[in-house]
Amino acid sequence: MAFRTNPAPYQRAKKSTLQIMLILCAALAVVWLFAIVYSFKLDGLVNKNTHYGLNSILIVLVALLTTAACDALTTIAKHKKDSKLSLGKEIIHDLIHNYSYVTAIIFALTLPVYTSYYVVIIGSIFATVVVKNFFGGFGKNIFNPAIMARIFVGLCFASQMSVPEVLKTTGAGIDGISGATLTTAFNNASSWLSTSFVGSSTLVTNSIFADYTLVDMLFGNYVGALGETFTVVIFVLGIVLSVLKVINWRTPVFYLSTVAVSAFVIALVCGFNNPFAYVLYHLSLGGLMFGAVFMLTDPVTGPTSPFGKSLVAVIAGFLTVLIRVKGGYPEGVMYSIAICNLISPAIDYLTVGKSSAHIVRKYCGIAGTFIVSVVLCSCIAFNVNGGKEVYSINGIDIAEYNYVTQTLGFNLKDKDCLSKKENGKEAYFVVDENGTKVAVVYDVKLDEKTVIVVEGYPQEFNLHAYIAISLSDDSVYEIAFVKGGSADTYKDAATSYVDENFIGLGQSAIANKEIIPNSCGATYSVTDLKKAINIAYNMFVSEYK
Amino acid sequence: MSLFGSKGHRHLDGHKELTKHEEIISLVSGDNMVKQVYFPTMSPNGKPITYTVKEGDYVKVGSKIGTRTDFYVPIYCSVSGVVQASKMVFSPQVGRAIQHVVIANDGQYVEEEPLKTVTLSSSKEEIFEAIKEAGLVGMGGAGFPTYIKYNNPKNIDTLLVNGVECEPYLTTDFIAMQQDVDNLLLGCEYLMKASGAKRAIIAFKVHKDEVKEAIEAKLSAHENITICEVPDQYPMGWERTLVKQVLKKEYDKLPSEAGAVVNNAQTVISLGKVLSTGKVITNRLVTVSGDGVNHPTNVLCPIGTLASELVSSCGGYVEGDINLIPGGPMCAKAVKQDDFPILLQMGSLTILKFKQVETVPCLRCGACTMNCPAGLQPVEIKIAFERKDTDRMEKLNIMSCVECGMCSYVCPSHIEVTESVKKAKMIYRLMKK
Repeated sequence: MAFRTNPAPYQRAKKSTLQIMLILCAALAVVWLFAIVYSFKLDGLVNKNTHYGLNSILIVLVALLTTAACDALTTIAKHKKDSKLSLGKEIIHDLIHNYSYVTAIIFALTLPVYTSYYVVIIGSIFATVVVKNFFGGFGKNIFNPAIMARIFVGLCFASQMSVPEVLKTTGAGIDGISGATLTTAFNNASSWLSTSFVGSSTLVTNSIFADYTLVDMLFGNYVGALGETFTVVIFVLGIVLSVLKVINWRTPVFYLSTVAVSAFVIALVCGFNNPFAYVLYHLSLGGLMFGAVFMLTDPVTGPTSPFGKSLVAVIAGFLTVLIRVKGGYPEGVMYSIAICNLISPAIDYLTVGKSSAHIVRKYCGIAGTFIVSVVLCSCIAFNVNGGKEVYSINGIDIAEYNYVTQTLGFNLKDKDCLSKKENGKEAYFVVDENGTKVAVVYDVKLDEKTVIVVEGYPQEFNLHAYIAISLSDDSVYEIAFVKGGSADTYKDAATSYVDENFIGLGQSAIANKEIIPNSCGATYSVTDLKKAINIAYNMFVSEYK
Repeated sequence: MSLFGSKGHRHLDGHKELTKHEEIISLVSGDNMVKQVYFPTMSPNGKPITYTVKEGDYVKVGSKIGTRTDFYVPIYCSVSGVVQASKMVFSPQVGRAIQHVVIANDGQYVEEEPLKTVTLSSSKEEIFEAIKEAGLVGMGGAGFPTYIKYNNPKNIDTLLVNGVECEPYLTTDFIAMQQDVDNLLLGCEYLMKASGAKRAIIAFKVHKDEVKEAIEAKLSAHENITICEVPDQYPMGWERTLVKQVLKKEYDKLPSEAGAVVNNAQTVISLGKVLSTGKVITNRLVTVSGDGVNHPTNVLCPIGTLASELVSSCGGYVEGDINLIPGGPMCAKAVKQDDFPILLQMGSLTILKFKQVETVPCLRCGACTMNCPAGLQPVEIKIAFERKDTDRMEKLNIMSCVECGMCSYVCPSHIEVTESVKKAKMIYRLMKK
């Protein structure tokens, strides 16, 4: 017998880090299970000899094996001969206590089911070796490895992760998506402020959403990243994990409420008819819930104090909405969390003193950040919409909008829709500085172009829809869409002129159905447009005179 | 409050049932009678204690044999017998072996003249002098001289009697409060008089029904004394936590800012006894408990008995390595030998089987911050300690730490957070001097 003098206390709580990680893995396994079931269902829908069900299993397994191999190699590399443990024991210890399996599952679940395996492998290596082990292993990494790996492969291997043709063309509920997934269908700067959210009583009738109900969105009945689509399931898991104190409830609560309140205020500012549904879309689409429960709550890369955790969650919520509404990506979640990882040490550094001290200041800090976030988000949303009148979206006033929707059942789209291949018809209406207007109507299905020149309001010319593009000086500042109407007489001349003369667009682009890609950039010159307008206009005038 | 602050207390497995209802072993008389008692020549803070007796002197029970030099605290002998040659004996308070005065117990327990007694009708000053002369220190473990709290107290509204005993394993307050309700209530009356408090609240944990019934039966004669049951959580017995729980008040430095004076229940009981009878406290109840001792129970022993004698009276240690902790398992530090004397403030010996703690890296979960009773950020202090950054330590209010052990207790990575904070405090003290 010997008296041992190890440090106090001699009684310890039973909860261990390993236990926390295993519970987390169990929660992730539930999400994975849902992903597997959905992927097998997808195989059935596509009915084209695909192996998505198998893929959903293998992607996670490949990620797990790769991270384990990376950890083992790292241990071998850093193993010292005089260390207490033998190499084998050290490898086993590191495999268990570097917790890379959690990273692997989270990373794999953020990938779409059709991701190439080598992308999974590269991402896993990047996560384990570069983001985690280079910084000293578990507990030392600055960034969440899974998020950094997802951003890395997202930027470097975007083409390997785009939607395969079979998913584009077949299967109920999954055709008609022009982007990689429903999420990337939002891949436009102002999609979250899209006119599709305006005015419709059935929430959204835009073609992006046309095939999905809110229930589909909430329960993950659409193609997306493996684990991120099951919003309700993840939400329930989040509650369970919070009760078990595996994650800190403050983080998801503050994060989700910031996003929800910001979205609600944006909906009000922009005059969307159903703000609650808009909020639900924000919460259900993409990896928001997954990020809130499994990524932002990562304690290693977040602040340690309850105040810091709350503050960082509010900031992440703000950044998410900001990137979604104003940024170039439909998904703000990963980037916002990565940025918050970066500011967490600063928050920790600034959170000093007793937790009982400065309570008023802390409440004010959180409330202030929250209010500033919401106000900023809505200001930005408002600014996108011209900042002048609330009842105008992208230059369309509400009267015009109602005319279009009510008379024709055709939803106006914002100017970015020009770059998309949509079902049905699209049209572009251009006004030059003299007030001359020309409409180009394009029927995607029939691959027909119709060019007409109009003057004044669309009603006068029996047009079906109207949004204006104006030319002023050398810039295009307003774009219009028109559906319907036809004037075969002018069609050939104007069409051929557009086909031949639009610099940078050319025949090939038109063959790819990429009419006027968007209103900015050098794909065609204003002068060319003006010429097109003038030809069409002159023909129009001579006909009607 | 708890949204951004720490909860500050949580339930621990108390293991109180080990000794709660066990028969008390007496080392005062009978077969197990103690042969020698030891009195240290140094107070816990390192200041010397001067003794007026020398080798060969005959002393009686209650003889004043010395005084502390830092505060005026008389030391009374706990047995009658002849003073022996002084010996180097380990002192857990000082942390090393120091000279101890040794007195051989002749087993006669010849009593010294009692001290001057006071009654409840005595003046405030007389009661204060009596408390000062009683030589009492906080019997909950801190060992702070009791009378200092009553030196000219101002704006005291409440006397809070701390019978919470929040450390696991300890049951002496539980037993003493049941056995000696009369002296507990009498002590309350004396201290209320001395402090000018209008009311006294006796606080103990819920589910101590025996204590509750015993006190309630005699409470009718004392209209200013009430009882308050507090949750079974740690560290509910820490002054600051207790004042916050019972009085819903927080204070900066001393509980008197919240209008309260806090005393341990056994201190109050002893005080009632000394002030009314004039007989000083020479014995105390010590819990010897834990899974490292064969028969855990409470032991009544003269002050100055060696811990090893207590352990052997409880059946000795179990097989294998053990932690011998002079105090509770949360705060006190294990010692490497068992031949140290029991002092007035030492209420327990916790003996636990040694368990190897396997540490993994910090996952920065913030459990320590979330649970710190002092509202500190132990994980940040630990990082500051690793960087030897004293400015940061200061900003993190490091000296508010009471070393309760909560941060190490909750740490899922089993990191010795408390130890790091203790070391950080040491470095901070040295570097700031």
